[in-house]
Amino acid sequence: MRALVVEDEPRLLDSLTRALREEGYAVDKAATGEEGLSKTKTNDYDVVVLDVMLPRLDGWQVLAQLRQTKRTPVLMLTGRDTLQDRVRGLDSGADDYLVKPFDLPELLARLRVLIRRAAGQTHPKVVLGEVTLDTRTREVTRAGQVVALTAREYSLLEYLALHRGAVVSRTELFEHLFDEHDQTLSNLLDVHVFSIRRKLGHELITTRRGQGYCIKL
Amino acid sequence: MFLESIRWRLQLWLAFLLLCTLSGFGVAMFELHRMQEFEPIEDELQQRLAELTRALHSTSPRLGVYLRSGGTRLSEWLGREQADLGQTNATPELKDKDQQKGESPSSLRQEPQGIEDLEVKGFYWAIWSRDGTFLGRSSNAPPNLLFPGLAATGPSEEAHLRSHYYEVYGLDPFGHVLLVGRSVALELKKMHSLALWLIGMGGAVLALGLGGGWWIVSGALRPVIQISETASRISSGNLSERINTRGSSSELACLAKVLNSMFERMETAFARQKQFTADASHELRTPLAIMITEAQSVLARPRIAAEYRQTVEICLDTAQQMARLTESLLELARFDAHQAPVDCQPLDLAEQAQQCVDFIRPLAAERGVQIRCQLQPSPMMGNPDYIGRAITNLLSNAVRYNRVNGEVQVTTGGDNASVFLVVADTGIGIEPEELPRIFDRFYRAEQARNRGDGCTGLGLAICKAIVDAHAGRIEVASRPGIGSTFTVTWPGPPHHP
Repeated sequence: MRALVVEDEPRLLDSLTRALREEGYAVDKAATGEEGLSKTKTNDYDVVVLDVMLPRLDGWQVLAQLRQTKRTPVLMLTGRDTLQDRVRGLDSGADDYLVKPFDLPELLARLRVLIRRAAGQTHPKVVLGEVTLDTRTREVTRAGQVVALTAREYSLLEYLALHRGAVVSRTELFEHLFDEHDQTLSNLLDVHVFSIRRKLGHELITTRRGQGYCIKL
Repeated sequence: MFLESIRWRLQLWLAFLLLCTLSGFGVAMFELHRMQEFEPIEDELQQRLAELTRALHSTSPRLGVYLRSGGTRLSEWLGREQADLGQTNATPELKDKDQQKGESPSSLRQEPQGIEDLEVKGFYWAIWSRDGTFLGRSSNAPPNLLFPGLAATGPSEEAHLRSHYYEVYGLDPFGHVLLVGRSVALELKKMHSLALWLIGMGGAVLALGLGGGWWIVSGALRPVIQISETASRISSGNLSERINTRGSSSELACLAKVLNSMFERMETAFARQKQFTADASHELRTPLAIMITEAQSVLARPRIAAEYRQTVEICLDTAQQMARLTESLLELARFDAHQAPVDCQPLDLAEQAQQCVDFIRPLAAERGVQIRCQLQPSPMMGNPDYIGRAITNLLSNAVRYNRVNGEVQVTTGGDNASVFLVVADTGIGIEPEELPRIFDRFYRAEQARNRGDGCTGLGLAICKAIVDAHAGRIEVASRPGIGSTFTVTWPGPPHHP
């Protein structure tokens, strides 16, 4: 999953980025509203964490401009907690709203909900035949047995599982699994898919030649 | 209590004044009419009285003789006269003049001409002796005739209205009391309807006046009610509301304008307060968010020592920033509440500036900024701690936002009236559109923001608060890319002759 964090306080930006990366997100950073807006326009993020109090172009303006073209889930972070602020936040197209100081586990849980909801999934557990993904713990079981996947492998599997039934192109997969600074070659995807098949069975992920990968319904 | 309402009090006053005017007018009008009505009657009655006197005593000397001889009853006399004449009519009656003349011309010859005339014209008469003994009367006189009493025994003629009879009486030369009267029922009826008409009209005018008064008072009070309604809406929280002053230039519009400008200032103050609270909460929540995120993140899984160390360093750094921010906020709050003890004492601005320059030099050296001083002794009254804080804030800004190998020029000087401190740098400068806001709390110019290294955004606000508390003035001139110059002016020491 690829996330964008827009936050003008550098230390908070760093902390959030680090925490999200540890959760397996590919994270891009933006220190200003303008930078954040341009990044959301060029990349397809699975979720955006957007601070409200930004210099010049503030969070509301970024959100309004983003909503003109994209439906990317947005979680607003703000130092304001009055009722009007909360209502305004939810009314102006934000998918969720969190007041600083927030709990990191809560932020992560809310981001998972946003991603699941955007994919049309409501339950945190995704069942694919005998394979089960728990998006809360990032744990994968096959016939009740826990299978150890690397962070990348899990992210790839999760993305395909959340977009079950759809053919996901290699470009899309690449965009959602690696952040802007990742220099990984795209054929690494094939290595990850091979590894997942070895651990969870060959029939789980189907290759559509020339189109991409798919997990069937 | 409705008596406390302006509307009702005005209304009551109006009713009182209207009532006074109307009743005065009505009474005057009624009196005038009455005089017009009764004066001719009285005149005529007096004339008749004179005629009667004349008739009784000159045209009928026999009556005069009879009366002078001590006869007491005129009717007797008249009866005798009539008996003498063999006349059937015992007493004169009210009859058609021509008919009577035609019927009994012989009797009329004997009767006093004036008397007959009187009766024909609807007048009646009566005669008493001076002591009140009834002597006689005309046949058409009302049955309940009264002796006019002692008033009539005077020399002059008197008139009175009794029931619906108007009577005039007086003494004749022989000492008889003569009375001539006539019925004024018709006139009284006219007066009665005039009175009714006056009361009716008065009532109508009163009602009209009160109605009009109500309307005028309502019109006059409407703006007051509007103002009070708007003001209550504003006081209940809707600060952006204003009293409508359009199309009106009355005294109330003037009041409304004054209130509006007050509301304007209140709204601005509230907005500023709200902005400050929002900014302060944002500034305090963000470091908290950093610490919590860092701590929760590092505790989520086992880490190596270096990672813990990094987290602790970040938390410490953030906590120190919060401490600085809290300190600054408290200081500003004390200045706002006028609680900061200014404790003025004589000091030399140059000396203070020198101390601050010495304090800031290590930071300047670190950034390769040179500080030049041109410090003339400048005595003033002030709190050295606060003055020092203000100078340090200005100097640290001048160093922090300077270019590498830049310069800071610090100058002090002054005359008896005022002292000044100038801090000029060769730094990044401030955009003209940002200049008016740099003393606002939490306002950070774009350029300064990007170098956000732990500054709170309150430094210049505190400077301004300190300068204001010392009755001074702070000004800034800046050219982006070239540098900024802050000039602070304070009053000089008080004169001791």
